[in-house]
Amino acid sequence: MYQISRENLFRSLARLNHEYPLFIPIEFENHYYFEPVARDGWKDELWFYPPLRTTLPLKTFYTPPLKQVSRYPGPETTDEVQPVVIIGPKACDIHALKIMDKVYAEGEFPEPYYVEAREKNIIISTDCRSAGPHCYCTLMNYKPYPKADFDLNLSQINGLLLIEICSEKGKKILESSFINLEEAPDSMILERERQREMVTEQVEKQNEKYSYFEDHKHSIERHLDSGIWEELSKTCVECGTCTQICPTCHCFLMYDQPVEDKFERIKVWDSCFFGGYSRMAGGLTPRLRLAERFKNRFYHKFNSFVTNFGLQACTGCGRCVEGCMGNIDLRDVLMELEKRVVLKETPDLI
Amino acid sequence: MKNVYQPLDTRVLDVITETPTIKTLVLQPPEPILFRSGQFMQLTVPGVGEAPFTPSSSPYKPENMEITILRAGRVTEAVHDLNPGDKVGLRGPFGKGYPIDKFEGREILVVGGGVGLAPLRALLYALFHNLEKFKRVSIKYGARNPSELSFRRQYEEWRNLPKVDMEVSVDSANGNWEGRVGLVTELLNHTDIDLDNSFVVSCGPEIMLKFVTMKLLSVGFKPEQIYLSMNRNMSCGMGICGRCNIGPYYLCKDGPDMNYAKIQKYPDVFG
Repeated sequence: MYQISRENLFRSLARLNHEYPLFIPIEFENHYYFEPVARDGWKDELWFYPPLRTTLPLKTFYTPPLKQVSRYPGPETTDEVQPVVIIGPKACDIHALKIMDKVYAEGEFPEPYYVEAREKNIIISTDCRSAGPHCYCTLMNYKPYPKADFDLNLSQINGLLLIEICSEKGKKILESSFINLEEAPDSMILERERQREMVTEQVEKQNEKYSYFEDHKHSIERHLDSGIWEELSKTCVECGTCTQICPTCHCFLMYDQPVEDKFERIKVWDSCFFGGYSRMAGGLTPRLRLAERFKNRFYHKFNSFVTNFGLQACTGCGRCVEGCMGNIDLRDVLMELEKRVVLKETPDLI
Repeated sequence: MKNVYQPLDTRVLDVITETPTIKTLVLQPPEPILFRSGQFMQLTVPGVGEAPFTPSSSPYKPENMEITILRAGRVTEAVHDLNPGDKVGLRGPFGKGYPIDKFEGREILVVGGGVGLAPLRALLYALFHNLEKFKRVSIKYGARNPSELSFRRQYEEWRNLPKVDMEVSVDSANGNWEGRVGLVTELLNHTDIDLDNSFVVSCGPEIMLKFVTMKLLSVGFKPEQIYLSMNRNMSCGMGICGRCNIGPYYLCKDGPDMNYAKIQKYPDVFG
């Protein structure tokens, strides 16, 4: 691991920015967003170390909200993905990409745009410095700092930055663009561990009231046919925010339209909460009621995704909780499901 | 890397009117598309959109694929306006297809409703191709009225094959229909199929599948013996876009023909 001063980091990022466009976090009204920095557009005052994840998920770089995926008729074409360097993503978003990989990259039909973006984009992640009010990564068995699957990771320690390398890509840009690196002393690494533990405890503490003693797969399985979903979705207004800002939600639809003398196919994010999401020609709509769609989302994330891929499709980023105008809290939903299972199966315990 | 969203330019060779609401496109892809019966294609009408259809032609004749389509929505309206010489797009094949190997040595009961006979015709062609491997093929087919019976010219030919029988019924008829009137489920009341040594394959509207399944169970079939062609909205066809699931199964990649035993516990099986 290496240490670097802020000044040298800035000079390094400026050099990196000569090779790649950057995306850097900025603050706006206590929320954080990625902003583009075009080639050679780096200015030192742009530097900002975000305390927690951005408001919008990292998936936007890999499967954008709206994308032309084909032009036809004619021979097969795939637009080349231009690589970017993304600075500041947090662990929850990096775990989310590993979840997305299962769908987009590791199946029988990998999506070229996603796979290429995964191969080419460079992630310089950062540790969380505090728990956001909605964060619950620890409930999903994750930590507020990345342990793998980044290219470089930065931790801010006493005015300096500690750099960890996790990939060949990371090693390459470190060698090509970073200057005046020094071997990090053990004390700095120890301090990083202390800070990491502190933030982990903070996340754990604010989620104390949620103690699940059963896996969610099981509790959802027991509610496949129950009326509890009507209750749980009572305040849902079907806006689809939770699915759009979820870093692991990946549903989309495609539509075709004329462009110049050809046609183009557009892939656009969709939401399983929308009434027309599964409507078929002829009018039949499976999951006609909102409660059924609400159930399907939880079922997908915590049951069928586990069945199909061996992991839950939730990283505890808390965006769905933060964004829900019906005040629906995923943690409460899971809690309620579990409580009812207990009541149903072992009533004498209560 | 292959662009999985790119349709393959394909010429419409012929358009056959099957019924007032059903047409068959005879397609000539630039190269033969190999598929198993029951697998489906995504058909693009340029500029209008894409929808999933299972070919109705023989998997042993991949150079000219036929797709039989009911006019039911935006894309299928446009399909019905196509003429020979027009261009469409194809992606696929997708899905698993019928488990034909499993059917060997058994009696196969094929139950179709309306345009549901289209995917089943691909299965029938596949079964007929190796008829010696199967004990019997018994076809039960129903449509709303006599004019809505698909592939009518072929019934006689099928009935004349050894080990093949076919019964047809319509929901309602007037005038000179001399055949049976009643729902397709009624054809299942007194079937002489060997219950312990058979599989059932059914395709049709969801409501029909529901009542066919109930009937089959009531006459003694086990869920494991029943294969249903399940219908859901599909956009990608590859298990990515998310909308066609029943429980943990994505019909586009795990189906569209599903063993009923696998899906029976999910409350939204029949919509």
